[in-house]
Amino acid sequence: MKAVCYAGRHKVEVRDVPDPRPLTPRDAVVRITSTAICGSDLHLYDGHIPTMEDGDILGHEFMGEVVELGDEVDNLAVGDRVVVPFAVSCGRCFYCRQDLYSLCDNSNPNAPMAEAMYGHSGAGMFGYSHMFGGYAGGQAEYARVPYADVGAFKVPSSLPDEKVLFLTDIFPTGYMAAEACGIQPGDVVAVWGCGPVGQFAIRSALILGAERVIAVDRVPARLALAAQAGAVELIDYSTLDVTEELKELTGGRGPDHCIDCVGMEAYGTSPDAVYDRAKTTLMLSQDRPTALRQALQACRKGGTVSIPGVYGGLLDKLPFGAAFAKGLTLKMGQTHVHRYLPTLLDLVEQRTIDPSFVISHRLKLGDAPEAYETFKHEKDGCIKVVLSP
Amino acid sequence: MAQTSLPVGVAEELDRPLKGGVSVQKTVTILRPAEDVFAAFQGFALVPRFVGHVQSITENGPGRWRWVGRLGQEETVEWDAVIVDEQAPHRLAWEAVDGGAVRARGSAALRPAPADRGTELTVRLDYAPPLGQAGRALLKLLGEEPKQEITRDLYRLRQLLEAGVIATTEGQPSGRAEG
Repeated sequence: MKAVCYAGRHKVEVRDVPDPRPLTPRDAVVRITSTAICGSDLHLYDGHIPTMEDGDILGHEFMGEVVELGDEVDNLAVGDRVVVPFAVSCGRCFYCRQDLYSLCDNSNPNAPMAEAMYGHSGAGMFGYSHMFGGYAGGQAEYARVPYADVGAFKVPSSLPDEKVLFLTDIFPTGYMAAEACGIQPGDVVAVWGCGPVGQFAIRSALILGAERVIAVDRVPARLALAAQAGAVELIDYSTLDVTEELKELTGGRGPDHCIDCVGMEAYGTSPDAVYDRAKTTLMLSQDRPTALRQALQACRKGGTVSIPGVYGGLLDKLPFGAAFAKGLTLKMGQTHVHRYLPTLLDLVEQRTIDPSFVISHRLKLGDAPEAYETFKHEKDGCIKVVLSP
Repeated sequence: MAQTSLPVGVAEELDRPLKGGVSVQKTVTILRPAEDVFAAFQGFALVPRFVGHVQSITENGPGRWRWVGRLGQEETVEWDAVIVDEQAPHRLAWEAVDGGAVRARGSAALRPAPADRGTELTVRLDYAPPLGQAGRALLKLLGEEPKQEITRDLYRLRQLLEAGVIATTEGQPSGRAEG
């Protein structure tokens, strides 16, 4: 089959690889009908996540049709159309049983590698480095789905791929980030980063009852898309002082909740951002937490800073004193997609939201190398790329 | 199987490191009752499935077990182990014997985790010099990082007991030359 493979920093290649097959009785093999490139794939592409190897198959947002099943998967049948959460979760450990699927104890065969870095290992993930399991990803024609009895969700045939594909990651990720804020009537939520996760965080915050959302970005097409969500105000951080502007827009209080949908590769124009870029270039630190710094600084007293943006390692010059002095609540982590997927599928079926609004580019799997470049450099108003095999 | 229950104090003595030897210990919590975890060790039933370097363990006379370890692709090494303490479902201890001398000891100790969180399992291995053939083989089998090796082993046990399968990527496709 054809698969999009990591070929070193800033290089992906479409290669011919063997077809996958079930490796355990709980596995399924899916023929992929749609797959997407995620912002977190760009962290791999940019070489920010260690333990990637040449030839690793990328991709963790995919869906398709079941073509093969292990003996112990009794809730699926060949031919079922399924979406697959990006986290690989056993469904039976202490964490999975508490709906904390992305913290699964059992799905990372390379858990000691992650423990060396983080103290403990979370779940394995599709196409996301050997430290997170080394699972072959879904930017391919076929994929093996471990623990398919809990890791593949049937979707109704009435909904096209484009409306359900993002249930695999970015919709639940934006939703969990907004839900973590515990939004109360009257709350104003500020969202940094209007990429795909930011777009879903904005709409989720409104669905969950936010009075208003303030979206922070610098790319006009992304800000414009954010504005379409409804009660949204915009801040172009390249022209305004973000924390000051946020205070002005919230009666001096600051946003009740701040959501950092940017993560480790923040692009900023402030002096600290320039300093961060220099340090990451010199490999002195891994992450550039510009957005997170602003969120901690801007958030109102007693508010929530929710972090769906991915951070990988050490953060420099974080205003932890601000977080402490203001009694902030910090919420973060990989998304428990399995927990949210049925609820969000209902929202799609009820037409509360049509997740396909984020798609800007529809390409073929073979176009992946240029698609990565287009997405990385936000060319042609690129917000979200969907690839079809 | 031999049922032995040691006098008070002897079990503690068994936990002391062999003189001049090396020890490695790892504790994991498994979301299963102690009886289920103990059963994995009883008769070493599941041990070859979750311990990376053990190919098979078969009964070799009363209370005596023949272990076959994998040294490389082809090479194997064999030794006998006897059970020296068995208190189901709390503790199992064994010793590898090599020409009559004890060269290695292992034990599994189980206690309930708080509330409904399953069982805390501590596995400890000791090796003594002079190592002899079995001891040397064991050390080689455990590699240069025995703690990491035993960690992987116990995680595989947890995967088996909780998830029913061992997490693996062996045999999956990749874009590397070897497939």
